[in-house]
Amino acid sequence: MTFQSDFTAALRGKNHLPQQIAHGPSTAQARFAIYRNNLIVGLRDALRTGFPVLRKILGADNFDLIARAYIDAHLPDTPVMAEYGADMPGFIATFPGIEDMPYLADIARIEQGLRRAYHAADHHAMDANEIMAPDYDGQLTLAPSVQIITSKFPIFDIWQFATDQSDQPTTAQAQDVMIIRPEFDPVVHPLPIGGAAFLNALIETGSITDAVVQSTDLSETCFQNLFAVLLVNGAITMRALVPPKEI
Amino acid sequence: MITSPTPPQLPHAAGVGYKADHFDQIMAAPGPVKWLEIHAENYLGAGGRPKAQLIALRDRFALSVHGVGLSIGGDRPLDQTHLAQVKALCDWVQPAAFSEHLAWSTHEDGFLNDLLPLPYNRTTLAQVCTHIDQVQDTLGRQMMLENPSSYMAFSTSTWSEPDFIGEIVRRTGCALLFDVNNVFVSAANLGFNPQAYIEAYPLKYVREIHLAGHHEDNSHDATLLIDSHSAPVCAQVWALLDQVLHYTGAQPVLIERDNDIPAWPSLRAEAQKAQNALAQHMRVPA
Repeated sequence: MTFQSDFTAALRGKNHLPQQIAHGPSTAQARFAIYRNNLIVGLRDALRTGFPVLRKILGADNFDLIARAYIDAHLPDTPVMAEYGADMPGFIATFPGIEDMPYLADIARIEQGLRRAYHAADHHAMDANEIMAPDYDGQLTLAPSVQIITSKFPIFDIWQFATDQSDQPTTAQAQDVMIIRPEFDPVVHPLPIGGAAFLNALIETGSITDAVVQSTDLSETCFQNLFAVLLVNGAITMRALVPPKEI
Repeated sequence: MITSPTPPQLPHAAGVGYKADHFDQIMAAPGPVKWLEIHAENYLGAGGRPKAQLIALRDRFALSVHGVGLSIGGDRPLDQTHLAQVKALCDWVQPAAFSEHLAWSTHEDGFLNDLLPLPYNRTTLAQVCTHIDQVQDTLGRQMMLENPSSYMAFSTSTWSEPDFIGEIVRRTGCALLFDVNNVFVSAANLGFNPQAYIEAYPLKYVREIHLAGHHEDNSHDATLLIDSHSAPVCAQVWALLDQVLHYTGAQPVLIERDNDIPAWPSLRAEAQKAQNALAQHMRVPA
């Protein structure tokens, strides 16, 4: 076993110390404890930063317990800490003891979506004239920052409640949401029935007309409202031409 | 890509580790701050506010890109995807300098999110030098290597840290980022004399200096200093800075603060203190 394999195993374990430490046993424990602590605290802080609403719903102690279990199960696969926690929705869905809060996985997906949207590529936001121009029909798509999150739960109401934007959850119906980024700060927006299907159809067809035809569940009024939200927030853009690869 | 025929050099002046929360105030009232350091790993996203801020900052300040995740001291090959992302960032920002740590952070289990220590011997020397060669070849520029803060030494080390780093410079042609607080922390933890370390260090290759705060940890059997970047720079570290500047002359000096981040005016006041220290060592051209 190499020095670094041994060191890593000791970091992730509780008792054994790595080989080659040039200090006596008692001080060696204290010294190595700093590295163990750095690993846990650093990653726990990254999860706290990434999932503040999850932490608020669960309470700080419960969140830290889950975070610790997550860290033991999932080390980051990249040094980019903004991407850490990608497996949290699935992890929390099966975490024992919180079965009565099955919507937490979708809250985690929203928080991940917000982070992805925050760092997403910039784009040209098309205005109504451009969107309606026949030349662009078939070439439209959603901005890279737009995220669609479907749920079996009244997830928008729960989100609003958890983020102090409403007094209490008001509906028992399933809700879908989208995340849009008007300029730099992403926001969570409710989707009407049929809204998610419309957005996916828009991505697929590149055409507002075709997407409307495919979205039979989306009412005329709901379409108009949703279209207005997309337009005002600059969420519709053109499909990018794939640039030739540099050799 | 932002094209700039001659990227600006880091000025021999005070800089600070950039925090996004300080953006408006840094732009409005930078005080003595002439340059900023950013952590590469925080700017590898595609767009949004981080990139927009960088564009604005780049017009006003010289930038130093500081990597924290390349795992230069690792015993496995560098993560080529990550290295390519860092290269893309450097190509885009065209910073005045790029630096990384004499440490490892990635293992087959994943990224360990810390700057981990290595023994100093022939095997690790070869690994570190191979990695620095790869980084410099990929980025197409000289990199600076930062000395670590240490909590333990290893029985398999056959080089002193200053000699090990000197040999790395000789083999790779890299430059050095000298962290004065790291020397102070390591000296207290490992029981060596920081002044003697500085005397032995290859200071003529230093192109940037870091200052930071630390805290004392008494929670275990030994009292240890933790390189937490969570406090103001202590008096002894300011005194060591003076010793270093005596040998190096004025250098870019950075105040690093990554935890318990204070309001901008108090960080700016520390930068002013660094600027005052530098003023004592400005060499007037003959």
